Amino acid sequence: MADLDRLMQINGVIAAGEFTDSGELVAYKGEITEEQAKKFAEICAMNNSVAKKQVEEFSSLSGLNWSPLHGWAIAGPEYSLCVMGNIGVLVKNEVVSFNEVFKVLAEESKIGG
Amino acid sequence: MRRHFWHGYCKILNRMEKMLKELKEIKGVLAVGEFTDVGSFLMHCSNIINYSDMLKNIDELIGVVHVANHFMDVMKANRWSLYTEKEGLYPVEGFILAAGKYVAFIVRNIGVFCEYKNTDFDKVFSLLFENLIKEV
Repeated sequence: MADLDRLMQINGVIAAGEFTDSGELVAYKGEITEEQAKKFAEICAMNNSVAKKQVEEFSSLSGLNWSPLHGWAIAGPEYSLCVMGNIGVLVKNEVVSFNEVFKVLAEESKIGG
Repeated sequence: MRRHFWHGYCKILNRMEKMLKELKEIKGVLAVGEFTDVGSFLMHCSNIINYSDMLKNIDELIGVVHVANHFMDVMKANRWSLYTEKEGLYPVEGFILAAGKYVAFIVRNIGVFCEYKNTDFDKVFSLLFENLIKEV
């Protein structure tokens, strides 16, 4: 199980969660409700499966090594959602270090290191 | 009136050119491109030397990545805001995809293609956001 407290210690992280491949919430921490965390888990798992298919297509299209998927992030005007493996964090753009977030996410999810 | 328009237009072009050059100088950046909303390639600077025979593919690939991800992310972030009532993730301004040896950053119509191991996420992200989101 991922150490969500470690992720929460990063400056700018407002919520962290772990989910299964099918989108069920395993655990969460931070400034969101359980209902929000469940939706977060569902969307992250769905996006993970789309991204996995996409990178396989990119690899075959380009002949470049785009596989396996390490992670993805979407950035809104105020917050970003960063995901690696089955762990995701919601971060505040203005203050967070994406280098630190992706480093810790890679270590906790044990992929992409 | 026309003079003002051209002055503004040239200012934007100069800023874009400066940003593309700055992006290219960041360690780990392999290629930078600007694309239309339908994925057509506009211009690029590239650090790729050994991959010169693949450049066309890479440009096309980033274009396709940009368009596909843009629509996918707008949908996802919209749904996220709708269900969670958490403002601040919509409209989607950018997307990062890390897979295999590479990372693609897409903010608005700019795509930056980098090596996964050597990429400074903060530098690329802040340069794109400063120039494309805050300045516009």
